[in-house]
Amino acid sequence: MTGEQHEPEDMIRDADHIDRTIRRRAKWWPAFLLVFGLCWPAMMALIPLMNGGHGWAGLGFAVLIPLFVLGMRRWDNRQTVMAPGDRAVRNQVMGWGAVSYLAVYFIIGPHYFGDSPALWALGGVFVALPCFVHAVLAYRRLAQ
Amino acid sequence: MTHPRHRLDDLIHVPVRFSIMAALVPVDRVEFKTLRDVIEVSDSLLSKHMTVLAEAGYLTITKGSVGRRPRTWLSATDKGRKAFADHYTTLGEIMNSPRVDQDAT
Repeated sequence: MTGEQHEPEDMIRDADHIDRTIRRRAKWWPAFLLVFGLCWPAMMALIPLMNGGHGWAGLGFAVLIPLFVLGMRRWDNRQTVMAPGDRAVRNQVMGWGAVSYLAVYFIIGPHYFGDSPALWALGGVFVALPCFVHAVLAYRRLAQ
Repeated sequence: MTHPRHRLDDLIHVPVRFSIMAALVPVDRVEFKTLRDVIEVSDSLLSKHMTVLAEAGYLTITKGSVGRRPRTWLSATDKGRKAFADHYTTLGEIMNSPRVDQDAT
């Protein structure tokens, strides 16, 4: 593919082919953000169930969430092409996630959500908002 | 000096280097082995050309590890991105410029 061609047509065709290949290999990133974002509503819906004495909800927190985190970490570590701006997005997602999770868990949730898993899940969507926004933006950028 | 070929960047015009930049520009960074496979060159050839591009300030090389596995990441700099974009545009202009009929001369 990268033989000693110097014709402009060949070089541009080669570059375009490489560009498409690399973009395709970077598309794990929007999928990763989407899956990471979806875990938040699921996880936060368990909070009222756990407080209500449902043992399986506690088990979910104790076993499934660490497994999920390990799986995501493994998925992340196996990647060899990083999408544009991934470091800034990671910081933003983690920063927003930490602050908004604490706000929902300690302030908003106890006051407004009560024992409703659906409302707590909605709180999870709020926490995961940057994940969804950046998943769409990253997908659009890589699809160009 | 009006023909677009005078604007070609000799450093990038080498096909392997042009391919390296083509792979790095659309993303944040690419791991060495993946880049080698995508542009279909040997380890030594990629090392040689990426060193030249790094010395010119067109890309940065970062060494790290995941677990026990060492990894080398390559990333295009702003200077490299601009140089690649300019070179790509110039090649397009050359492609679209009227050709001189060699038989007519």
